[in-house]
Amino acid sequence: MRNIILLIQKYRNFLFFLFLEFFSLFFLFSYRNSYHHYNYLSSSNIITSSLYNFQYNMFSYFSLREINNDLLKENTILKNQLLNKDLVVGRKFIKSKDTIYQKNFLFKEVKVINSQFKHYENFLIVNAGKKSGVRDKMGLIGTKGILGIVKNVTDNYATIRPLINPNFGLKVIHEKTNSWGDLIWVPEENNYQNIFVKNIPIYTKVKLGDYFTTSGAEGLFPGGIKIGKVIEIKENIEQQTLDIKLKNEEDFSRTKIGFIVLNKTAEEIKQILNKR
Amino acid sequence: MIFEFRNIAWFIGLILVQIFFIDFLDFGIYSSYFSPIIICFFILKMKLDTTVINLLIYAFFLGFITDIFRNTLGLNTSVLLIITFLKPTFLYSISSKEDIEKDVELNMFTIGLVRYLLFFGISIFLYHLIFFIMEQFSFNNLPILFFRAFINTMSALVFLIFLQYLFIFKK
Repeated sequence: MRNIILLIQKYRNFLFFLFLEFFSLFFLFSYRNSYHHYNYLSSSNIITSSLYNFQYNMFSYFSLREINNDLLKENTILKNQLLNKDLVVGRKFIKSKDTIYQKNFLFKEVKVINSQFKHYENFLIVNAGKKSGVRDKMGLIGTKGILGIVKNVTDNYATIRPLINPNFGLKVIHEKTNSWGDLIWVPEENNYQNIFVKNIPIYTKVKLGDYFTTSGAEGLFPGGIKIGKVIEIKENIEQQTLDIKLKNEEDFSRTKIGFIVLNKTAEEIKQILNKR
Repeated sequence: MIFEFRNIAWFIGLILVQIFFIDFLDFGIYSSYFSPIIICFFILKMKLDTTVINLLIYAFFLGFITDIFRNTLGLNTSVLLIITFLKPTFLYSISSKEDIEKDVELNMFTIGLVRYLLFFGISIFLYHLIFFIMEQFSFNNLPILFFRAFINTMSALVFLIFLQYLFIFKK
């Protein structure tokens, strides 16, 4: 205590100066001097805003997970808008921007929590199930291309049969010529990065670098979603077809997110296919 | 007693001259270069044995009253307090402690013209510089501020010499 008093005595001049200076600055920045008052406010805002910015930079790193989730949701909405531009029954169906047109496809964002790609029969698991409205035989698309079809559904999870599974089959079309083909993954000849398209007529003009897309015919996927790029063409003389090797758009070794495709008219398509 | 009276007279006189004469001078567009502030002379001329606390109190009231009239509440007060606090530093930077007698008022007759120009010059220049920076409240146009402070210091020094010839009697 005595030391404190001594200290105050020693620096009393300076302390008194500070006291009066504080007083006068208080007057200076009071609301009576509008210029200094607002300048004080704004300069203090510079300090606070830079602090806030610093804090934001710090904590935005930790909230990347939430930001990613938000972006995912936004992507779903955008995909809903983008891929519903045309009512996809056939590829060349009339495109309509009328209000009459019906939204055929809805998308639900999911996370791929397990992805196999080295096995004979590969499967993916996503974190959405019956509770989220996922049903059997729904499509799953990734951010670049298609991923697979829902095979099994539990309450909270779903198993996906991906492209890279020998039991996977899908009608695809060549983007430039609209020729139909069948997508087949042969475990002995393909790895997780490529896939075969067969049954394309031999006269079709397919070039390296062309794309194959979904047809939308089976109602699993919207039309026009890329599957892969042509990297190899072989002629099958016996069957007069082309065996085409595609490089998958989606990289199954690093798949993280996807969108379950809900087709509102799936039942109708099923009925028509069965009647035939 | 006479001393006290003289101080009070200087106190009131400087404020009156500052507010009713110098602030009313009009040089058109050059007015900002000729608006010296001379009230700090009251603090600077105080005897060396005046305690700092007394000086600070004088400075506070001197600045406060000037501010009320000049409509710059707190501006002159804060600058004057800084100058008051730093006064010994300025003084001893131009002369040793033994050179100046403790119980003599500081003016051009007691400390000589050269020291007067140095000591009062540095102090008043700093006063103006801090004043202008605080008034503008930013460091923009710093060269112009230096120039303004310099010109104002010159005019203040000349004006103070004039005042001292009028009101301080040589012994």
